[in-house]
Formats: sequence, C-alpha cells, structure tokens
Amino acid sequence: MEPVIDVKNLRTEFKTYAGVVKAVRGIDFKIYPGEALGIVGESGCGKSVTGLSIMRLITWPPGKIVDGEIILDGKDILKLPESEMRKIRGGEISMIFQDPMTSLNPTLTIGFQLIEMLKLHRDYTDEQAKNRAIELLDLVRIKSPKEVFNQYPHQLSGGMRQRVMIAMAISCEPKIIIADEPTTSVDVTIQAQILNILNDLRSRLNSSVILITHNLAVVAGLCNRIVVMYAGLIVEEGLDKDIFDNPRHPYTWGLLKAVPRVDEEERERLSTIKGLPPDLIAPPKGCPFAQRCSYAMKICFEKLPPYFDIDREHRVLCWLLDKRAPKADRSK
Amino acid sequence: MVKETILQIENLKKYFKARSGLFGSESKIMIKALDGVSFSVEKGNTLGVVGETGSGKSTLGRTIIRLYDPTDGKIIYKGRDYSKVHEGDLKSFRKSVQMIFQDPYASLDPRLTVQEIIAEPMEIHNLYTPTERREKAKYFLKVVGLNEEHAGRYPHEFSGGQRQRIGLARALAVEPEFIIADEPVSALDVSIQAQIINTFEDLQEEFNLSYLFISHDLAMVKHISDRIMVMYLGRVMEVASSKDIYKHPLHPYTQALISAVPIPDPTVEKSREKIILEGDISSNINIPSGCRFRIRCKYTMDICKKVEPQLEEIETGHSVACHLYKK
Repeated sequence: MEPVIDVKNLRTEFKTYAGVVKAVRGIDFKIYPGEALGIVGESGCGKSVTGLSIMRLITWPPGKIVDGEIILDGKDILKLPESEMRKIRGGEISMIFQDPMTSLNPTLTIGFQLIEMLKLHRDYTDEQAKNRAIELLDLVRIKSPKEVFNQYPHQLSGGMRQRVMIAMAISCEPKIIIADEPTTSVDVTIQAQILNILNDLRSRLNSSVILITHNLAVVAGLCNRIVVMYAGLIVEEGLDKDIFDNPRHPYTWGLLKAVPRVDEEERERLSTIKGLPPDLIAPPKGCPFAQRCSYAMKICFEKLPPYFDIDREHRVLCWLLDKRAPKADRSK
Repeated sequence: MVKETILQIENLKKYFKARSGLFGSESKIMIKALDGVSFSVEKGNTLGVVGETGSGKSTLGRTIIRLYDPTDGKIIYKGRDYSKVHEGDLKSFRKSVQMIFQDPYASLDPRLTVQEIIAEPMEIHNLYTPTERREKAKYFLKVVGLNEEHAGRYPHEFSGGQRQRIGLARALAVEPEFIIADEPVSALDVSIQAQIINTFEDLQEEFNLSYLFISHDLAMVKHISDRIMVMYLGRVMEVASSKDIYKHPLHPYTQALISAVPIPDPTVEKSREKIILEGDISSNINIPSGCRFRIRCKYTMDICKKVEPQLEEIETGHSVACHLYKK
C-alpha cells in the first residue's frame, strides 16, 4: 500500500534572541490511508511543530523548515508555491487546533465560516454550500444544526465549538486530518464525545488522522500506530500494542508509568522522570534523554544512537538495544 | 479508629448576581454556583472534588477560604464557624488554611525573588525575625525539592513544575494544617505531574496535612484521595471512598464520568463500551427542576422532574443524591 503522506528527514528551526531553537531535528514517518497515527510527547518535544510543518504553517520569521521532504501524492509539498499549497490546506490536509475559541472568527457566523471554506475548495452554489454546511454540522452530532448555522462562536460551548472545528476540517473530505490536542481544553465527558466522532469519521470517510497529544490514554483508544517524540526526535515508533505492551525506550517506560490509571486496584507511588528536557538551542551531542535516563551508559552521552528495528513496524532510538549493551530491567 | 473532623461544610451556597438588560440594570438573575453543599474532611485525609466545568468545584475552594463571601451555610473549621467572621478576623484562619492555585505563572509575583515570595506570608502573619524567615524559606525550598541557591532567583527563571513547587513552599511557610489545591497539576506535563503529586503525598505524611484536592482529572484524583466527592451544577451528587466510587459508582453521572476517562491500554480501551453523555452541562442560571442532571440522564423517571433528590447514605460511607436509590 502507498502511504498518503511520507515525511522524510524533516527539520524545523526557530530563530530567537537566545539562539536557534532546533524544534524538530530530522524525523521520518509515513501514514497510510485510513490510519490513525498518534504523536505523543511533552511540551517542547516538537509534536505541534511537526503538525504545523505538514500544513506548511511555519512562518518566517521566526520559524523555518530547513530540511526534509513531505511527499503527498508523489509531490514534495515543501516545494510547492503558496498558491497551490492553499488548495491543499483544507482540501487535502486539514487541521483541528487545541483552542477552538481562537481558531474561529468571533465576528462571523458559524454558517458563514463553513460556507467560506466550502466555496474556496469546491464549486458549490450558495444553496448547495448551505445544505452541505448543515449536513456537516449534523455529521458532528450538533443537535440543532440549522440554528447553530446562524449563531456566532461565543454562543456555543467549548465542546460545540470544537465540533464546529471538526465539521470545518472534514468539509472537503481531506485525505489527512491533523488534530493537535483536540481535547485538551474540554471536560472528560466532552473528550469522549469528540474522540468518538473523530473515530467514526475516520472510518466513514477513510481519511487518515494524525492525533497530536501529551495524553497516552487518549491515543490508546483512537490510534493504531504511535510515534513517541522527545527533544525534536522520534525516540520510538510502533503499533499501539508495541508501544503499550512492549515498549523498548526508557522514555516510553517513564511516560507510561507516570500516569495513574483510573482502573488501578491499589494505590502505587507514581514513578517520575527526574529532571527536565534538554535545551534545544544547544542539544546534547549524545542521546537527548541520557541526562534523565536511569539506564544511561557512557556511549549515550557521546553519540546519538541509530534506530534499532525490533520488527517491521517497531523501531527504537536507544543504545540499550545494541548487542553489546547490558540487558535493561524495565521495572527498575 | 475515629479520626478528628477538621473541616465541616454545611449547606454552603454561593450565588453570583448576573447583569442583564442593555444597561445592566435589570439584574434579577442569580447564578447559583454552589447550591447547598455539605461534606466533611478528616484530619490527615484528602478529599478529592471532581466535576465538569461549571460544576462549582473551584467556587467551592474559593468560598471555603473566604475569597468569596458565602451566600448561606457554614464553614466549620476546627469547631468554629468562619462563614460570617469579619474579614479582619480571618487572619488566623487563613494561616491555617492555605491555597494552591492552578496557574503557576499567574500566582507568583514576577517582581519578587523566590526568597521574598516564600517569606511574604510569614511577614504578614508576624512570624519569626527576618533572619529566621530567610532560614525558613531555604528550609521549605528544600522540603519541596528545590535548592537553596534558587532563593535569589525570580519566578521567570523557573519551569512550570518548579513554580508549582514554589507555590507549595509559600503555602507551607506558615505551617498550615489544611491545603486547598485547585487543579494544581493541570497545567503541567505528565512527567512533572507525577513529581508534584509525589511531593504532595510526602508532605502530607511529614506534616500531617489535610487536603481538598480539586481536579477534573479523575485518574489523578483517584490516585491522591481517600474520599471523593462528585459535583454537578453546584450540588454534590455522590460521595464515597475513592475505591468504592470507582469500583461501584452509583449515580448515573458518576458512572458516565468514570466511563469517559480513557485508559492507557489499547486492548482495554478499544474494546470497552463507553457511556457517552450527550450534550453539555446545563447553565447555572436555568437549573432544571427536580434533579439537575435529569436532562442528560438515561434513567430519568417521573419523580426526577418534580423532586430534587437529597444526598443520602446508601452504604456505610457511600452517599448518593439520586431517586434510583430511594429506600
């Protein structure tokens, strides 16, 4: 099967007064049709910048994609002129942002904003566009779509606004929907509604979804493949069961153990990852996680590890998988 | 062993006036943020408060510490009712009951050094000499897991997790017995959340602190609390020990809330049936008649429209406000 999108050696940097922040430092991944890929990591790991880079929404100054290719339909979209990119944005790839209040225009009705998008990408008459807009609102399970069509963003609750954002994102049946922390600012009950809708739409439209989040539990329900990012690099990639049942990177271990589970029987002390992520203005020359890793060896501080393949789907950026490394006990 | 009750809240109400009309003159509307909340906390224990946005959980914390004046009800702390005590006489109460806020960026004065931030509450309460305060500040920095050298720095030099630790040190500086923590880790990354939660647990043990832990993260609340209280639209829906409430939730709202929490395990998460609550929490202005949850409840009966269910103890230590469990 051909991937829908193939990201190769993507590097994105930001110029600041303190120096150049290397936010994404050479990442590769592919997404196949109908797949849901989860990108997981903490603040500053480069997960959102990866999403914005695929949309080509990194603006200079201060940001710049300095290297890499993003292949969509055999074309490198990083080389396209802005006029063509505008057709891809919203048409082929669309994005849902974390904060639905700041991503909707407060002075325009929901209907106007949906129609604007539809008419930009499709040859609809006013009548057709309106019908389609109402149909879309219904699709994201908004109870009275005709009323909401004439309302302004401030009249809707956070959960409704996020659903309007999803309606907009799917309006042109894009090949890829990038959802950047779509449920971070909403309640758990609304989070469950939104994840349910996203999953339903993915199977119905056969779109691929990239879900960017810091919450591993959210990824577990929706995604079939997971990328764990740390300090601008992919440190582990695998199928959902690889990451949750057989994780191999100490950072993934730490992330999994740091969150309490609502279904845990006995209260156990949470394990922590000591310290803080490295400064990406001058990233360490070795493994970026070595400073915080309790398994770190001498080589980890000196040389960045290569990817070790566990199987066809599962790869890990860690020296512990080298033949010469001692066996690491995950429970430690 | 019967533990001593440190805080008892009785029928606490907080109504806010909302302005309506073009000139804000026809202000007859009341937002009932807290509408009769009662509970108690035992010494050395943690009560977790959960609920959606608009459930009144933050208003509860702020009303208890008297940042808001309660409309009605009692705040009995160590045997004395503080609900109507004059602002000027609240000093000793506020020394004993401290608050930790959600946003570690907004709750520290950017122009003070960490040393000054931690010493300020000691100054306000006339504790110690200046030299002693300096020593104490350094001591509490160490207690919360920071270094003595951090004392001379300013808040902007710290990460979110470190700032939350500074907030904790400031709260501890006046040696409180009760800490109200309003979403103390929500703004932090998961690996940092675990660090702060562990610190909370260590401090509780060391200083025999009691906590009111307010959060929307049910997994975290379950982890840290002895007992859990579920709120909806300003009222308590269910109270039980944290084990009971997760194993055996009674209220349909609690059941839906727990079911909505994602579990970090793809096999479990992809196969289980979730209860998806339709719609949003109703508005605090037009609270539904009878049971305020009935509009989103799938078990609604006739009585739910007419009579507001009261919180009743169904099993030992497990109370619920729902007509389904009327004896």
